[in-house]
Amino acid sequence: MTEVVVHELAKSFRVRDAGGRSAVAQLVRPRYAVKEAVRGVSFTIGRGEMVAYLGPNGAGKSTTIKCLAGILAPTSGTVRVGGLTPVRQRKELARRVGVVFGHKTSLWWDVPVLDTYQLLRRVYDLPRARFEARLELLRDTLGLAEFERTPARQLSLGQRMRADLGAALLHGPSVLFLDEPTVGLDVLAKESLRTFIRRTNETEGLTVLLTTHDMRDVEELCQRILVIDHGRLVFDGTPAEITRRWVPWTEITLEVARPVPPMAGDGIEEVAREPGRCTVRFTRSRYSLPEVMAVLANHYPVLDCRVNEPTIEAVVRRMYESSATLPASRRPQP
Amino acid sequence: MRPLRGLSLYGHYLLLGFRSQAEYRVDLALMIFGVTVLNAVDVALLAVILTRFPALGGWSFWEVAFLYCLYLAALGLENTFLLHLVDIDELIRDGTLDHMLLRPRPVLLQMLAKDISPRDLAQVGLGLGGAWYSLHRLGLALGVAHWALLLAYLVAGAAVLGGIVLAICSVGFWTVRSRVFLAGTGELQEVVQHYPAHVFGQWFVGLVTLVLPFAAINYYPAAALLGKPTVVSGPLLALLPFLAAAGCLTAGGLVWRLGLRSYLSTGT
Amino acid sequence: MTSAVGHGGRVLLAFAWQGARTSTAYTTAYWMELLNAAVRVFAVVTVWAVLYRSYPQQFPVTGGQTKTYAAVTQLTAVMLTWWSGAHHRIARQVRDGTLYVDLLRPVSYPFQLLCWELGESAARLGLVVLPAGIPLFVLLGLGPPGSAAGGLLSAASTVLSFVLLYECNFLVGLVVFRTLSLKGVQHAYHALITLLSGLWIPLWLYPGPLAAISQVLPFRSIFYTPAAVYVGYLDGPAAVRACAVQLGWAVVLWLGLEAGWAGTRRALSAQGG
Repeated sequence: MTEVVVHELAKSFRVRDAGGRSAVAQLVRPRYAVKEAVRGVSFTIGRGEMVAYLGPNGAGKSTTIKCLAGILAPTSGTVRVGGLTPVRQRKELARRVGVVFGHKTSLWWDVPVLDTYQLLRRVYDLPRARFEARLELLRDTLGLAEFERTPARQLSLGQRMRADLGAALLHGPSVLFLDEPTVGLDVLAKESLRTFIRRTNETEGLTVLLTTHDMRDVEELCQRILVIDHGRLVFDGTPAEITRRWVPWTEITLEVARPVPPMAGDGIEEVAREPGRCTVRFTRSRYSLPEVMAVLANHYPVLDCRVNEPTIEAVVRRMYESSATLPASRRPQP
Repeated sequence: MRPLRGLSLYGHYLLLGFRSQAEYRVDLALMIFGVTVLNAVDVALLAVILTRFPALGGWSFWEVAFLYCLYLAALGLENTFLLHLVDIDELIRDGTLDHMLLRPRPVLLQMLAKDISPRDLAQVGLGLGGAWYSLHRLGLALGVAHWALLLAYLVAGAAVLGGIVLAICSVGFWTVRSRVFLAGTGELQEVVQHYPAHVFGQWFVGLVTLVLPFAAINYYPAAALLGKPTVVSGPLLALLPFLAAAGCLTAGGLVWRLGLRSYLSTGT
Repeated sequence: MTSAVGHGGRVLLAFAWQGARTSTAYTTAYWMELLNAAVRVFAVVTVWAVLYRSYPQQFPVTGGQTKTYAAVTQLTAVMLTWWSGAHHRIARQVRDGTLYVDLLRPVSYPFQLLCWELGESAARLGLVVLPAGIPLFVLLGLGPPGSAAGGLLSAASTVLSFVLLYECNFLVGLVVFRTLSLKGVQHAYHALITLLSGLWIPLWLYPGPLAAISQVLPFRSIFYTPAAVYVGYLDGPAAVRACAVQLGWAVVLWLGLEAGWAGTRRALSAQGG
């Protein structure tokens, strides 16, 4: 059962482009350039899947989400969510999806959270009994009770995100789009948010597509990763596959008894050295771990060793870095 | 049934908006004070002019004051209920419009329902009070029917303004900053509010009647009620504000629809 | 000393450049500003022309002088943007906390703001006032200054107007540190300027009591003085005297500004924000 279908989605914008011309010239005849934010992206998401949508800033993540949520019409290609065509069937779609933008709250700023929810009940035509039941559930799982009578502007960021998540799920959507839901939160707040999302996915079969820069979100929530770069989908697979593909090596840190010349062989090489410690990298397709250990033990006076499995964080960082045309300033610092 | 539901939803939105504003009561009092002071000064300036000069373009001081007050009241009425139209560009920029698009309701309803502005209601009162006093000084006692007509003109005037504002601000869907276009008509509005339009020549009257019909807000209604001559006369003069209102609302609605469609296809 | 002056000049230039950039950052906003300026000058000049045609005996000056006075005051107002000057910048900076960034700079805050405003006004002069004003002067048949000396004095007087207005705005802006908001105060202040500066109506048409009040306040020096000197209503010694009054107010208000700012700074550092 597929919930989301994206086929050859493309979206381009016209942007103002001064191109180094003088302010006066731009005044008289503004010049524009076409920016292709998304170019030919295709994927499907099954019901109940939780998928991470990754990519460097400006890669086209938010644009895709907006196309799915019915805020933007595609330039070309098709998008279906729950069998609906987003922009054309905006109001029907709105009853079926929930969206949270981490950077911008949907709550009424100056009134208690509960008042916002009461209004949303009418916006979505929820029967009172259903609303109360839903609210009770959210109170339990999101811990709303402690701050539901507080105006949104007085909430901590973590509380606000919980309240926003509640607002997005109040009408019981079957699909949830999250655009950087954990941005700016502290570790504990992130953890409670993730727990909630995971639990809702398990109990309600909620389909989730989330963009994030925090790889812990990915590790803890998602069975599948999509990576977009320069508007194109460059990866679609499991966390294990992404590691295999982008970091084909594993690193081993060795404690050595005395310095020896660095090893530089075929598929094994030393990449870092500190007093009493060397880090060696080997290509997994060439060697198995036992083979490598044997080779290393031959060369180094090994006292102890530790295998460093690549984290998704490292994988993604490497992926972004290897994206050659990316402007230097946009690259995440290692 | 559906319009009723829409109305009840509007009511609930307003309630929330009102609660938001309740947090800023002191500001409200200050704003009402400010609006009163500014308008009092404007009228005082008119008084300085018209005590020295008995008439401007054939209109006496109290006739001009009446003209001024009609505009003030209509502007107040428009701002009271349609205040957030001018926020279109802001709502686009800060992403609120996206949130509105995520809800299963008409976006325009959500926008207008954000709240109403009691400060501007005070302006309606000020305008009506001033209009009444001007009539009193002119020695004109309007009957019930004429007062009803005056109020109808007020609503029509608010609709004219609302339509124009909606049309102009909907340009925000294309250019990111639409408030500047509205600001571009600011001086024109000031001129129409302060002085009888014919003072500036026939071409000006044509401009504020046919292109941007600000004159339908106060000039024609005042002329109709006070019996002053204008380029049009008779039933056409009496009906002109309503025709203008219908035209402006249609134009505004049209540009809004086109704009929203364009926004959905281009974003920002 | 020269290096201090050079430093000040460089700061000024930098801010002026910034001001020009801000003024032209939004194409449409710029065109609308130009349009508004034109509409406003046209309307005010027309009203005075009509009044002069109907009641010439009420005016102590010629019709040409009346129209020119109206145009000069309105264009000066556009250049100085008195309704959104330093007080608004202070309010904004207090609200969003960027004030502290400016306080960290090695140039005094009032001076920074002055440079900033000067930059914006200079930019507006070049980009709005002259492009809108010159065609309007030609189209509406408005006159040159009454005399060459009057023209020069009027230019100097306009610079003093700028300084005076800046000082008034800054002093009003200081209120923000107590109330955190300009609302209320701003309207009363704007009302005073509207009524007593001669911006809309030449002060020579004011009835006795109102004219007397305007005599003892600084606001008349902002719009009335340069325009009255320009059209030659104030001439010779009277013109020089009016400019001297301007200068006097500028000095007095600058002292007030320095004192007020020193007090505010003390209060700021005492409560640390």
